Amino acid sequence: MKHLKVGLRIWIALCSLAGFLTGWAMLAHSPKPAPAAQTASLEQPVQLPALPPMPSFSQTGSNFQPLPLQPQTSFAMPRLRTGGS
Amino acid sequence: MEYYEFRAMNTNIVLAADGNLDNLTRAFEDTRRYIQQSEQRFSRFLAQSELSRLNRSGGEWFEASPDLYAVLKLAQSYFYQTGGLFDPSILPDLKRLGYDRSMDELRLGEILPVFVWQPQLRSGFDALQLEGESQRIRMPDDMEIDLGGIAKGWIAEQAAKLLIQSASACTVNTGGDMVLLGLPAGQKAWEIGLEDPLHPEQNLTVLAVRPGAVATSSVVKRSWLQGGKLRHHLIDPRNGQPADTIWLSVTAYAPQAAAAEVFAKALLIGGTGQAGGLLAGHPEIAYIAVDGQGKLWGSHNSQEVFYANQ
Repeated sequence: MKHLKVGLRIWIALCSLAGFLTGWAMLAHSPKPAPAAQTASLEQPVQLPALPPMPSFSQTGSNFQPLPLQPQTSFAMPRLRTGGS
Repeated sequence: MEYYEFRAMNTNIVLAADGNLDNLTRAFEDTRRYIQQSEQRFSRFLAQSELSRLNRSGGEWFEASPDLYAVLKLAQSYFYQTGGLFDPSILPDLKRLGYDRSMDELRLGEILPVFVWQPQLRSGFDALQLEGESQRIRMPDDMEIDLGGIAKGWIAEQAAKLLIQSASACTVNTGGDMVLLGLPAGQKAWEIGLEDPLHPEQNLTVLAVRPGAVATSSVVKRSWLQGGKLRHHLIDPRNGQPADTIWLSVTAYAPQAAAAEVFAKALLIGGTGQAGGLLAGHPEIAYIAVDGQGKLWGSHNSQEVFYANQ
């Protein structure tokens, strides 16, 4: 019984040592984190570029939608045109 | 289809009609004369126009012609219908921004002085008084009116009614605001090129529209430099500044040209956020908008209205 306990302790110690060394090796070969100076923090938020508002169905409530027709420029030019004056 | 083109109201006018050539030749001349006379009445750039005299009458009752009274009554109605997004009383803001002379003169490229904007407290368009029986108008002292956002459509409508008396079908196109009466011989719809705001020499697409009216408002057409800043003529009445909008242009369809012109402008100024409210109760109106990348967007009924041949 005593031999079994000693063997078990040795086995646990060896497993712990092996796990520790494996973890050390993995961390040693992992990519280094970016320097702290380049990382945004909550205290110093990075200013994001302003995004243009996007049209959406919920904004309008009038089933406003993108037209599936792609812009085409190959048509013959009709004599009547509209484009503002 | 016979065509007749000339320049008036600082824009290109195109008349087109089907019918007997002799009759049309006379009708084109009559229509041209009507449009030029109307310009004399409604232009704010002509010191002796009726509109200019009205603008100098602040605080006093002004006896208006039936035409001027009709347009102002219509304008007041659209002012309320658009929640104030269409507001002819933004003329003082336009002048402060440099649009104090005709666009033909502005396009000559004179460098305008730097503009420092200051909020101005002034009367709103709802302060305009219209006296129906005597057709008199009274404006507050500080009000000045520009009918550029409605008069072209209204004139086109009246001119088309004149032209159709000698034609089986006709259109009057006042710089992109057009009335379509009847259908061209053998056609199911009128073919209209939708100008690319980024490349005006090209069309984005060709619309096929049934009789009614089409009008386009664009931030790129009437624009100028003031103190190095690019200005355009579509003033947001909520802040007195050129409208900050995601649309380069909005093209609206309506049964009447004045409605198409007014709603094209209001939809452009109001952007996507106001479109639902503007079109509520107006199922007869449809629109197509062009965004900054040249993509087309439209109201739910835009396909059936603008592509009526499909």
